[in-house]
Amino acid sequence: MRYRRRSILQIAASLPVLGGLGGAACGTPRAAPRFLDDEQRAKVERLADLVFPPDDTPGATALGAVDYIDRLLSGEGLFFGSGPFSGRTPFPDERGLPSGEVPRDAFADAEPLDRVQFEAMRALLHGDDGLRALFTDNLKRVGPHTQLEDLDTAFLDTLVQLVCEGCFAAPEYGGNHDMKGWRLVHFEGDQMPLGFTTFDEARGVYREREGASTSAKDDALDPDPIDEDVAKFLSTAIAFLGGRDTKAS
Amino acid sequence: MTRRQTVFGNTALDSFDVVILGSGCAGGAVADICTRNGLNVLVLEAGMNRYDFLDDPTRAPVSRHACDELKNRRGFILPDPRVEPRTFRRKATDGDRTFTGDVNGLPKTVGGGGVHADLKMPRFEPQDFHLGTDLGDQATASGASFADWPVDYDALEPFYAYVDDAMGIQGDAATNPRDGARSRDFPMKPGVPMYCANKVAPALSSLGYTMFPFPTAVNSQPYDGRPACVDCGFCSGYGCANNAKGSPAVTTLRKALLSGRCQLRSETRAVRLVKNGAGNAITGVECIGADGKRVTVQGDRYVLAMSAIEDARLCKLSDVGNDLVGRFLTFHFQTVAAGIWQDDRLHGHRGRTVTHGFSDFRGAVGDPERPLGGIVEISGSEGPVQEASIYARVLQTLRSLGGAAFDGVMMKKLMRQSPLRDRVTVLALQAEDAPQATNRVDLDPSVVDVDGVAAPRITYDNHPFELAARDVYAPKMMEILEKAGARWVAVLPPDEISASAHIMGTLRMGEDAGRAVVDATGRFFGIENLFAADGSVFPTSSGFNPTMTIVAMAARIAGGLVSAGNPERALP
Repeated sequence: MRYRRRSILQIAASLPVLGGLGGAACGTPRAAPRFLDDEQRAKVERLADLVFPPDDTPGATALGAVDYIDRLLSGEGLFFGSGPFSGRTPFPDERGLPSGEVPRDAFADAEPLDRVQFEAMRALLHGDDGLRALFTDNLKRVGPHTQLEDLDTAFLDTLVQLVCEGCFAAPEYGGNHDMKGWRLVHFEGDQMPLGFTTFDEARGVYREREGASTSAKDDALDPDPIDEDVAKFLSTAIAFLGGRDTKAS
Repeated sequence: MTRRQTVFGNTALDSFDVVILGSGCAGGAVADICTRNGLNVLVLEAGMNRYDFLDDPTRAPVSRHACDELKNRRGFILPDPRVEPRTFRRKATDGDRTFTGDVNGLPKTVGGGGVHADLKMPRFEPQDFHLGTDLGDQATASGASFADWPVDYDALEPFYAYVDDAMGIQGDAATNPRDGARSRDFPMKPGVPMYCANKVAPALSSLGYTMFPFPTAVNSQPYDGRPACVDCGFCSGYGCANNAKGSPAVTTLRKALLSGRCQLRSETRAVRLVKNGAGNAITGVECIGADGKRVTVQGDRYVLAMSAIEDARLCKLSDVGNDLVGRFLTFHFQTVAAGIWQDDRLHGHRGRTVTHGFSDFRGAVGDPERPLGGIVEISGSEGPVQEASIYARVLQTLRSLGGAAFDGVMMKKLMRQSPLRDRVTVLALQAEDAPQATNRVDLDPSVVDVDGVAAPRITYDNHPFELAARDVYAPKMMEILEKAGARWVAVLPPDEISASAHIMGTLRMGEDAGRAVVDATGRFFGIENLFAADGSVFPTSSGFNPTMTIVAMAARIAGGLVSAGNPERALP
C-alpha cells in the first residue's frame, strides 16, 4: 500500500501545479468565444434540439451543444485539452478511498499543436470545405420551419456529429454544462486519478470501488430500462445487419 | 514565443552508431538494447512529445494524455487525413484509388502506437513460424504466399522474456492452451476482470472453450517505478494518465533516454534515405524538422521502425530495396460480433477495455471445420460520444434507406437506455490474413501530404483463406453471446476501407533476396547498413495480436547490431 501511495504521489509531485484541497471546478468554460451571430445561433439551437430534443430532461441546447459548436467555430476554444487529470475525482488516500487532495483541472489547459496539426486545424475550420463555410452557407437556407430532412446531407452529418460531441464530451470544450450530459446518460465521466480499483500492496490484492464494481453486477447507475420502442428499433437494426433477436426466435 | 523542447536525452551527442526511425514499441526496444550495450543512438520521431519530464532522471514522467474522449477523436496523436492523407483501392484494376483519407492510421507521437494501444501482448505460437511448410499446397493457393520465418519460436523466446520484463506484462502462464514454452513466468499476475468477461465465461465453458486472462502490458501491481492500473476505462485508444500502461515512452525508450547514450528528436520527420553512389549503403536521412526546414542526419547504421506502411513508403520515396518492397501487406482480418443485454448493465466502460480472451478459434492446419483463425478478444464499450455517433449513423442510414426523418426522440431514448455502451459485449476475432504479393503499399501517383510528399497507397483485397475462417467462426461467436444471455446478437460487416491497427508485412524477412526484402538479421539485401525492425518484416501475420512479437523481433534485431551472430548476448 505504501508503494502504491508513493508512486501516485510521485506523479503528483511532478505536476507543474497541484491544486489545493477540494477546489476542483466542474469544467464550466472560462470564456465563451463566439462565431455565430444571434440569428445564426438561434437557427443552430433549433436544429440541435431536433437532433437531441428537450422533454422532461434537457435537450442539446440546454446541455451546451450549441455553446460547444460556437466555440469550436470561433477558433479560440480549446482544440486539445491537456492532462493527466481533470480534478473531477481526488487522489486516493492510504486506503484507496477518496482523499481531500484534488488535482487541478489540466483538461482546461490547451495542448500545443505541432506544425502539421496546426495546418489540420486550419483545414477543419477554414477554406471552402471548412466548418465555418459549411455553417455560414447552409444556415442561409434555414428558415423557421426547416426540418432536419430538408438539410443538405453533409451539413446534417456534421451537425449531428457536433451535437453528439457538445452533449457528451468533457465540459472543458464548452458543452456538457456541469456534466449534465453525462448524468443524463448515467456515465461517470473521467475517473482518474481515483479510478475504479485499488491495488492493496500490503495484502497483494485488488479492491474494487464500493458502489462502482468493475467485475460484478452493479445496478447503482442503471440506465433507463429498454422500452418497447427501443426494443423494436434494435430488432430492426440487428436484422438489417443479419443478426437476430433471440427473444423473437 | 515559447519554444518547446524537441531534443531529449543526451543533447550533446553528435555522433551516432545507430539512427532509429520511429520511437514506438519497436524503436523503443532497439534504443533500449543498443544503449544497454554501449552504442550511441539517435531516435527520430515525426510526432510530438506529450510527456513532461520524459528525460528527467529525478522525476517520474507526467503524461499529458488523459481520459478525454474528444481529444482522441480529434486526432491528438493520430495523423489527420486532411493534411496527411492515405489512399486505398481493393485491386489495381480499380484505378488510381477509390478512397482518400484515413487508412490504417497509427499514432504519430513519442511512444508511437504503444501509447494508444491497450497493449494486449500475447506471444505468437510455435506453429506460426513455419506455416509456409505446414500448409503445404494451401500456402500458395489462389495467390497466397505463406512463407516460413527464418527465425522460430525457440530463437525468439529469450526476447519474448525480455519484453515481459521491460514493458511489464501481466498474465497467467497456465491458462492459454496454445502458448509455447516459457523460460519464466509473467512478472505480474492478472488484474481485475471486467464484468463482460465474467458474464460470458459460463457460456464459453459450457461450449468447451477456454477463456484466459489476456497477457497485457499494464501494471497489476506497482512495477518498475510505475503504479498499478486503477481500471479507469480509458485504455484502448488512449494514452495512459498514470503510466500504469507500459508504453515505450515510460519503459524502454525512457530507459534509453536516461542512459546517456540516446538522443531523441521529436517533430522530426524522415522523408528520404540518402544512398551512396554505389547504392549499397545509406549515408544519411533527410528530415523535415519542427520548423519545417530540411536537415540531413547521419549515423553508422539505420533502423526502420515506423510501422509497416510508413517504412515501405520511405523506401519507395528513396528508391531503396528490391522489387518486393511494399508487398505481402497483411492485417488481422477482424470478425466482430456484438451482443446486447436487455436487462443487465455491463458497465463495459470500466476496466482495461479487454481483460480476457480465448484461442479456440485459432484452429488447426488442414482441418476445414477448424480453419486457422485467431485469438478472440472479449471487450466492453466505448465512451458516450462514440456511442452517440454510432446511434446517429444508424438513424441516418435508416433515413437514407427511405425511412422517416432523423429521429431525435429515438436518439435520446437510445442514449438514455444505452444498448451500445452499458449493455453490450463485443467479441473480436483477430484472424490470420493470408499474405498476397498483390496486397501492397506504394506511392499514390498524385495525392500528396502537407509537405508535398507522396501519400502511401494501400492496395488490399481479401483472400478466400480468411473469408473461410469468418464463415466458420462468425456463427459460433453469435452462439456464444446468445448462450451468455444477450437478447440481440449480430456480426458486424467487415471494414469497407482498411482500418486495422495490426499492420504487418511490406519488408518481408527471408533467406534470399529473390523472395524477401530483409534477411534474418533484419538487414536489407544489398544494403550493408540498413535494417528494418518492426511488423514490416513479418512473413505471416499469425492470429495473435502482433505487438509482443514486434517488440521481441526488434530486440533480436538490435541484439544482432550489438553482437552479430549471437543476439541473445545483448539481453540484460
